[in-house]
Amino acid sequence: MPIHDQSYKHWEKKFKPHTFRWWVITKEGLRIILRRKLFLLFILGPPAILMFVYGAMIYGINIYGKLFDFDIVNSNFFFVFFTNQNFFISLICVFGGSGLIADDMKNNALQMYFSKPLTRWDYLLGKFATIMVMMLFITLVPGILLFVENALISEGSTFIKEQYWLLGSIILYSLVITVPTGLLILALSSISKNSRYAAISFIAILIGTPIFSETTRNIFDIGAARYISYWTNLFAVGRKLFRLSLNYQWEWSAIIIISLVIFCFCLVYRRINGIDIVK
Amino acid sequence: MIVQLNNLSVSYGEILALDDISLEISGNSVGLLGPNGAGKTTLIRTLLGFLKPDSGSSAVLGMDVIIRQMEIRQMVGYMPEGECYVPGMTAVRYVAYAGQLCGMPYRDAMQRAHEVLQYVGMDEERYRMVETYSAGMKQRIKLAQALVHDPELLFLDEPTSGMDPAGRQDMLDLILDISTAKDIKTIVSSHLLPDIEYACQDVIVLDRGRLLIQGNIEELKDSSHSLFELKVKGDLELFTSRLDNMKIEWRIGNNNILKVSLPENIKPKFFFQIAREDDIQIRHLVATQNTLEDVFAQAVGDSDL
Repeated sequence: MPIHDQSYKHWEKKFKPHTFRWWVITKEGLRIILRRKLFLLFILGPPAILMFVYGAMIYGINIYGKLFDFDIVNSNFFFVFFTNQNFFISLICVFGGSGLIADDMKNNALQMYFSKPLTRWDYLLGKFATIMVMMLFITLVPGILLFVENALISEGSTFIKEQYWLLGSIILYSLVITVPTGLLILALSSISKNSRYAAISFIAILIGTPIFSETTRNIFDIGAARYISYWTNLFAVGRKLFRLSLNYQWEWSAIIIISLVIFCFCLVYRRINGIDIVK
Repeated sequence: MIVQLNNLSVSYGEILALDDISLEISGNSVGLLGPNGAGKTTLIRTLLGFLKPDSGSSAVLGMDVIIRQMEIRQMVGYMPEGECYVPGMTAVRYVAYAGQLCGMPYRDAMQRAHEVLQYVGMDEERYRMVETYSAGMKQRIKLAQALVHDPELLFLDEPTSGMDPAGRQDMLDLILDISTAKDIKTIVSSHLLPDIEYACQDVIVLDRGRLLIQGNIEELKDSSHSLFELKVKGDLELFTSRLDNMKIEWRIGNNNILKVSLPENIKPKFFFQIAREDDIQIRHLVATQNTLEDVFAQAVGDSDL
């Protein structure tokens, strides 16, 4: 019987094209994070349950009428759903996103990445997509599913005709919540080699900015101080997208969110460039 | 030709790490030798495109480093100095991941990871998490991830760092096998002369960012000078000053043994002449061969002058 040589052999096959190389990083990142059972149980589990609760509500409202406080499944119903998901998005970022770049920097893995045929864009996109997939899984995916469920159940009603635009609002607001939050945690993750610092900084921003905003508004009576709060800005843009009333200007919130996105992106990109410096 | 540098200068702020280096590397296994801070790692990182040169140009495998960076990285492997891994992965997964990042399909990358890990001497340990490995095992994994996509050229930065003597010998044997039997060109950076002498055919000596010497190790050792080991009793300073007067190179080795490099036109009896004149006794005189250490010491010594 011939002995199979398991030693080093040359590899003669063709390499895949470069286009979706970033997806390899995303897949592996997701695999590492989702392998943690506690993460699945406590971080992704509850929002999934919440989705089923909302699904049941839609069913109940449509089948049994006004059983719940909600008069009808309208834009406010979906907006409230997204507002509830914000807490879980924060948890995903803290437990799933804080180590995405920090762990690579801590273990000098960036050298390995960039010695392969990968651009900094590939790396950044791969990491960003990792956190985005998880966040969209609890925002965009259930949002669309609930919309479709309502459209199917409320057959014969005017929901689709009158509120078709809600689908666009769901998609856009999912991105408004997830893109800045994802970039923020990536930026913080790239600042420190310790993922705990990134997590703590993230929590500090999410909790600290509303407190600071409220305190400043109450003490100095400055209305514009509300824009300091991260959540207030997301809330304002969200209400505009869902065509809900708002007693202050959403445009400033939009500008602040866009500025944050640009700042975080520049910061991450600059930090990744930082591997050029030899210790 | 595997590497070509034309007046390459690289600096970190005000610190000049590579100073106007021009060279061509064409050997199968080349050692980058130099003390810490000589510019070895900087040179490798520049060739990988991690660092932008201040001036000059460089090419790897005939491709310009700035213009065709991605193609170069597809064809080279890099084993960095120090720890380098992605936590939360087994060794086999990590090496397969490195293969996938190079564009290998998952199945091929996984099969290849097993083969390469077997080759570098990782057996059942390959299923353990990378962060749990000893320093020596991590070195092997770094080598495996550099080899997984079957590169044409391999950059190895301090490959034996942190390894025990047996592991170090294994690593050197692997490097030797890679460059001779597997037909993969290697550039090995190290400050350990025996490692370079064992695993490489050619050597490039760098010091403070400058190129000191370059060439085939055997040819460099077999120079036009004859090397002698001497032990003298008496005024050593006077003896060495006489050597200096004749512009003869010397250095003091272990146990106060003088290593003197005599030009071809001076015969060894010259030692006895100056010893007699200065009332110095020669207790030990033996013709010896240049080692890489002598070549290195001579090169670094010359650069200090």
